[in-house]
Amino acid sequence: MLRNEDEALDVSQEAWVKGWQRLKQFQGQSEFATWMTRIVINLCLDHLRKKKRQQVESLEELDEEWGGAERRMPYLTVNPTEGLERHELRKRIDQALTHLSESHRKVLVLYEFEEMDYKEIAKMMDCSIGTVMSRLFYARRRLAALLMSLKKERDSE
Amino acid sequence: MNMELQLKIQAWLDNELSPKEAAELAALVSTNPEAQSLATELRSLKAMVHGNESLLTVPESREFYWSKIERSIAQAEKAEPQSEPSSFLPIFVWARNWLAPVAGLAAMVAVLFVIAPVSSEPEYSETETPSEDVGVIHFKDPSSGITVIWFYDQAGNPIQNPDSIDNVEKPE
Repeated sequence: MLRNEDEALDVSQEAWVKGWQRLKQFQGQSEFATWMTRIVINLCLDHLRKKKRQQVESLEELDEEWGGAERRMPYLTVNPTEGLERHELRKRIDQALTHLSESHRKVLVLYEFEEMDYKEIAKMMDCSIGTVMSRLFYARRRLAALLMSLKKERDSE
Repeated sequence: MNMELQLKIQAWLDNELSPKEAAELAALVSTNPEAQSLATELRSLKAMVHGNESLLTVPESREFYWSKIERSIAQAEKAEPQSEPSSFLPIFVWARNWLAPVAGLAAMVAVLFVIAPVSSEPEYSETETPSEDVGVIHFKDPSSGITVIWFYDQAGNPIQNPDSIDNVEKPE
């Protein structure tokens, strides 16, 4: 989610410290791994929020946020990852995720990898379900386009 | 195809619609080629991405990774000591909430007991002012408004002086 190994490492360590400090709050209502994952996600989102405050969003990013290019993209008719080994597929997806805007990536990661539903994501990201839906939609459409262009690059090599 | 419909198709594939809405969407997608194309793309993308998160390994040794966490926990605990004796804490809170007011009340009662004898004394007062030649006793009763000044000599005998009657103040 952070797209930065050092930052991810720091946040993961911070999460264990937080987990230790809040251990008394763990009621056992969910699995310990789920509880810890929630701490990690919250810290990642906090980290990204802090980072975002320091950056000025470019017009391109704003355009991407509202699905500027994705609105006009034709639907995919071929599978851009067909024939790829699983590790290659993972690598390709990871590459594509790097090119997504932060807000799109966050929603996509929470939905597809953390298996959270719209409501949970909205609550965690402090936004409406409608925003989650549109961000997820544009994230998927953009990801499809990115995977397609990566396929074309690979095919032309 | 409008945005609302596109998002509904996505929600349908994500199992976020009610059974009734899902049935309506399924019917619509089956008859609308554009909706079908979008549904196909989203379905294949979901299948591609789901569970295919890139796996990363920690680039440093396990011991080093955990030692940093251990140090951070130790530092955090040092900076903000936790209220360890949790069994003692409720007693302390109870004492603060109940014992302190009771102690305050007891102190007030004690003060009243100390003051009470003074207030139970007769309202009049008597002051003796001895000197080498003449002794003076000053008697004052505010309730009746009488003040008596008594002069006596060294032997303790009252000084017989008719003027002494002037020393008696009658209330007006």
